[in-house]
Order: sequence, then structure tokens, then C-alpha cells
Amino acid sequence: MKRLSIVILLLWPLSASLHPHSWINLTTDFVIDDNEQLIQVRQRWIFDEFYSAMMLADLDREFPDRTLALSEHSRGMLKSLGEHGYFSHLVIGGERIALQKPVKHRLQTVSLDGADMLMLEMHFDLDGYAADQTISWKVYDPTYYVSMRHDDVSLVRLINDSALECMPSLIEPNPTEEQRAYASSLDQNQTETDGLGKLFAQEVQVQCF
Amino acid sequence: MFLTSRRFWITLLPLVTVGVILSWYWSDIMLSIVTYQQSLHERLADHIKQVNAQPWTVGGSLMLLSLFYGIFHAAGPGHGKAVLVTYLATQKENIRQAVGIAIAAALLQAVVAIGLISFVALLLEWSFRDTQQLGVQVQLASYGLVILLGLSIGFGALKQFWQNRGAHDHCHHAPALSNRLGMRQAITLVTSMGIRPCSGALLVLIYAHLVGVYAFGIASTFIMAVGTALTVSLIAVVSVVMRDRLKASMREDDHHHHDHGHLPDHSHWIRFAGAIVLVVLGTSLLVSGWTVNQSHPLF
Repeated sequence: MKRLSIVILLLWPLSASLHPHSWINLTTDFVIDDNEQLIQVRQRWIFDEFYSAMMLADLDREFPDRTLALSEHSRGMLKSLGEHGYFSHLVIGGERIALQKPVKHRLQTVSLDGADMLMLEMHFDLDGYAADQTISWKVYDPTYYVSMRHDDVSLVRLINDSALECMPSLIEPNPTEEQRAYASSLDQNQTETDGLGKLFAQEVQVQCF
Repeated sequence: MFLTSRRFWITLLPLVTVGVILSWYWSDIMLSIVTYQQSLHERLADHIKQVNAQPWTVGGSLMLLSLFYGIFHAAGPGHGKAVLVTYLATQKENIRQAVGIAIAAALLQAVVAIGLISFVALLLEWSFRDTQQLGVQVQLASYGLVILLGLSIGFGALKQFWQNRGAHDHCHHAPALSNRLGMRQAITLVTSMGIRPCSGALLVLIYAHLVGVYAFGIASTFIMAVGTALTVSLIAVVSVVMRDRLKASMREDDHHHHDHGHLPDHSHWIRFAGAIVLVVLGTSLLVSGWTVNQSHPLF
């Protein structure tokens, strides 16, 4: 099995399904309260034109009206995304934080350049973590069928009620290095199933002083 | 021995160098491909949206984009090319046959995509999501065909090997691969490469239908196939030329002189090795495809 997984890893780049055929543009807001605690993460996923058009056409066929369709579909989407941790990975001060069900979510259409695009909004409440630690945030589809990216650092915003000075930064993936780490992690632990998506994940970091 | 031949190494060295460079920069290359692909998709969508207003000018550049998409997309990673290169590097096809295989596979891919959207989505009224997922599932069948192809070549090579041993002939005429078997293998190869519709073509067809310009979607799909055929033909020609040069250099330096220019016996082993690579490739693709293509939460 170990050998087999190495062979699979070697052949991974050959597999045609593993380059993205769908794109999601991300926006993330971090909410810091007046006690210098990170209490909420808000995300927006804007789906690409092909995906949005296809999904909306399917939904219109399935449901009598758009509003019902969007709310029904978002419920299903949230449920299956929940099984994958909402594709979101939050690490605060080196500690991995599992996201609970979003306290608020909404799927809607927004008109961009004359096309209806699907937008999923999710608000995740957190127990409250000291915001002066390094906050690391990654959102990715492990299979890399969908590429998920913040276009630039201005799409990472801080809603900061504290006296802390906070700086978001966007770290583009550097997979050559990680690739080797991943290869060896696969070697030691075959339960690791994250594929290319992890290698090509952007990392958002927030530093507060 | 050919291993001491200069010509052998001169041919092999650039191949190995390119391979090493590609694998070293693979992640950077992948990343720029992905970013570029996204902007290509966006431009395709824009053109399809506007094609009705200006069918000639926008339609023309849509076709140009589609050609480019086909060329570009086929240059990216994909199992079809790996299978083709393995096959051509270890078997006997000549340049004309190799190009024929590449063109047939690209055309089949276009026909499958158009058939899938026209019949499954529009006629049978499957949802577009399910239709697209069906397209993805079809690739498992394609991996199965790769294994089948490997087995067929492997058994053929073994059979020939035993026949030749029986003949006790030092310098024999290897019986040519029977035409029918060769044809069957070529068809298996073409099907394994072409049965999986290009996801880009599916997106374009769906979107073109939704915007009300399905005919442009069909045209774009065929033009994409032309682009794909161009790239894959180039890969095929390079594989065949490299194979022949390597073989020639091996033969040249072999101490046995084969006056009629026939290959010494190890051509069987090369074919057999190709068969093994195909079986391993098909199996691992099948295994990884199985786990990866389980239902995606967003589809």
C-alpha cells in the first residue's frame, strides 16, 4: 500500500482531473472585539461565470422560484461542505481551530459585468482567541478541482474594535518546498488524503501588535 | 553495447535534462498554467455572451480563443498524453499512424462532449451538474482501457517471444504484429484517450446553450479539438522520432551486425516494458481517480 501510494503520488500530475475547472474568488473578514479577541471569521465565495450559469439553470429547472431554490440549495451545500470542514483551515498561535456550523449563511446572486454570479456568504463564530498571536487561514479544495483564491490582500479585511494594530498578508504557495514535505508525510501516514489543493493553497496571515 | 554509444547518450541527454527541469519547476509551471487557464475561461465566457451581438467579429475571436484553448489545454498534464507517449515509445507505429491516432482521439473527444450535452443534458434533461459529473466518471472507463491496452500488448509480446524461441533462429524475421491486433490496439488507445470529454468543452457547450448560441458552442468545441490534435500530434511525432533515433543508436553500436537492419531481440522486451508501464499507469489512475472523483461537495 505504501509503494502504491508513492506510485500514485508520482503519477499525480498526470491525472487530468487534478487541475482546476472551476474558480472561486474569496473574501475574508476577521472580526476582533474590544477585548483583543478574534471572535468571528466571515467569508464570501464568488463562483465563476460558468459554474454560476450552470448551477442557476439547474436550480431554475428544479425549483419554481429563485429565492426558494437558493435557500434550499445553500442548505445542501453547507451540509456537504461541513463534512469537509468548509474547505477552511484556521490555525491560531499554532493551534488548529475546527470551525463550527456557520451562524449565518446565505447564497445569492450578484451581478458582475452583466452576468449573474453565485455568491456564498458564511459567518463563523469563534470562542474568542487572543488576536495578538499569528493567525493563519487557508481555504482550499483538497482535490484541486476548484481553485480558491483571494485575488489580492485587499480582499482580506479586518473589523477591528480593539487598540491592536493588525496587518493582513497574503502568502502565495511555494509548493516545491512543501511538495517534498507532503511526499514524506504521505510516506509516513497514508491516511493523508489532501492532494494538490493543499500544495497550491494560498495562506492568509494576520499579525496584530 | 549501446550504453557506450555516444549517439545514444546525445539523444537521451536532452530528454533527461528537459525532464529534470520540468519536474524542478513543475509547481511554478502548474501555478502559472492555472492562473492563465482562469483568465482564458473568463475570456471564453465573455465571448460566448457577446457573440450574438456581433457574430462575425466576436465569433471569429471566439474561434481563435478556442483554437488556442485546445492547443494550450492539451499541453497541460493529462493521462492521455502519458499513455500515448508510452505506447509510441515502446511500440512500432510510424509517424503517419501516430498522427492519425492523435487526430482521431481529439475528434472523438469533441464528439463525446457534443453528444453528452446534446443527448444527455438537452434531450434526456439530466441536470447540467449530473451530466458534467458523468463526463468525469467516464474517465474511469478510460483508465480501464489503458490497463486493457497494456495487457493486450504484454500478451502479444510474450507470445511473439515464445514463438521466436521455438524457431531457434538467430537472426529471424520477427513476425509482424498482426494487422488486426495492431488495429484493435490502436482503437483501444484512441478510445482511452478520447472517451473522456474535455471539461472545458463541456463548460463552453453548456454556457453557449444557456446564452442561446449553441451552434457557436459546437463550432468552438470542434476548433478546440483541432488545437488539441495539433499539440498531441506534435507530442506523438517527437515520441516516434526520439524512439527511432534511440533505436538506431542502439543498433548501430550493437556488436551483432544485423545485415537486413532488423532489430535484435530486445525489441520484445521494450514492448513488454511498455505494456507493464501501461498496466501500472492505468491501475494507479483508476485507484486515484476512484478516490478523487467521489462526489464533490460543490457539484
